[in-house]
Amino acid sequence: MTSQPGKHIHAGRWIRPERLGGSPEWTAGLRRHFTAVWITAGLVTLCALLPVVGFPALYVAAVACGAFYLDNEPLALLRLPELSASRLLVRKVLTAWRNYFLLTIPFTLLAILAHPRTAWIAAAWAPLAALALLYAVVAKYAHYAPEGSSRHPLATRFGSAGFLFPVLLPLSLALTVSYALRAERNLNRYLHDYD
Amino acid sequence: MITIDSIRVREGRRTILDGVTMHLPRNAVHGIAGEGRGALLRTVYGLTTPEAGSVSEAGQPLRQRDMAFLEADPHFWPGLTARDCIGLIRCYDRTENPEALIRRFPVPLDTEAERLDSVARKHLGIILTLMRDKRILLLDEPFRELEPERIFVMQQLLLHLGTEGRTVLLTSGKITPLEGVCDDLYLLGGGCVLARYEHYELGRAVGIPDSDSEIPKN
Repeated sequence: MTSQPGKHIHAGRWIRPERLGGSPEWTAGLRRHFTAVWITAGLVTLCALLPVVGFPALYVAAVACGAFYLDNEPLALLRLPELSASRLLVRKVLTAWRNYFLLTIPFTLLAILAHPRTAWIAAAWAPLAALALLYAVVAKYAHYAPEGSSRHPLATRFGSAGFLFPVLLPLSLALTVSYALRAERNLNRYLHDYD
Repeated sequence: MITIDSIRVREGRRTILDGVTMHLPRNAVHGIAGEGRGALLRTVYGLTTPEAGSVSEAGQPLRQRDMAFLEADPHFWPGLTARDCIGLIRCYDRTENPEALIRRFPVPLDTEAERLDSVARKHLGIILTLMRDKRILLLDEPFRELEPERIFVMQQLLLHLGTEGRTVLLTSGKITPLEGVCDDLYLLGGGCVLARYEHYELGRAVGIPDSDSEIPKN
């Protein structure tokens, strides 16, 4: 889901960066994929009413939110928080978790209230969703290049697939660690002045 | 004092800047005209790595955190409206109030920033740059695309910025808008500094009495 120049965005004022933890990714992502977001919300609501599938559906939505992190922002936006590479990475990950978990609160409550006996699945959902978002952030910044088009090597795609196909999950976990280290080194090239 | 010392910048085989040296006092508005002016600003901001030379202030490398940069042709991330771009800056600095700037440089706030016409993009670029409370402002072609009345507003703003203790480096393809605004003007050509004019000499800059000449493109 890279940027499409011919595509119109939803310009509603209720989507504000201030409400999304100052995240340009979530602001732009919600505007660009507005219809997809509403369709996903509808599907997740339906799944929350069914036994067992509510939390797995929320987890798939977390993997889909990784699409917000496919495009590279301009350097001016990257430097806006004036943070060092490691601090910026931590902030980006925490913001991704904050936005995802805040937006999923109504669906979580609905799933728990509709089927209290399967609420234990939330214990697996929360860490796995957090891990999928962590992977999306570090994979983006491991390959970040301002002005350049987004590169998505085959390994990165396999890593993303690992969050949907358990057989590839060990690869995803290994790549998460590798990309986290590489992302900090990569961002240091652009943010060394903020150390 | 900001010191640009023997900067050499190449673009492919072409040498754009070759041994450019400038000593720029703080709290002043410095104009730069001529070939390679945009490359010089990008080098000062750290977007271009020079082959040789350095940019420093009081013996220390100039820090990006002290500077804000206005591109000649501002571009924005697809998916963000003009209001989002302003909101993002306010997320990190809540003291900044853009109302006065928006009145001076009108922008349709609920339109995708990347889809704005060139004039509105320039207005938004100016708003976002001036909203940031930075000591050093690098403005690449701030007058280009502006209507005559906005050029006057921009000149007044620049005068105000110079008096409130900011150091402004600005480039322009024409000398006329710089008159009465800049404390000095550097004229680049052939990769080096051809001449330096004090503010009272701008009228005879590049040897043309009405100083309305167009400088070669960036």
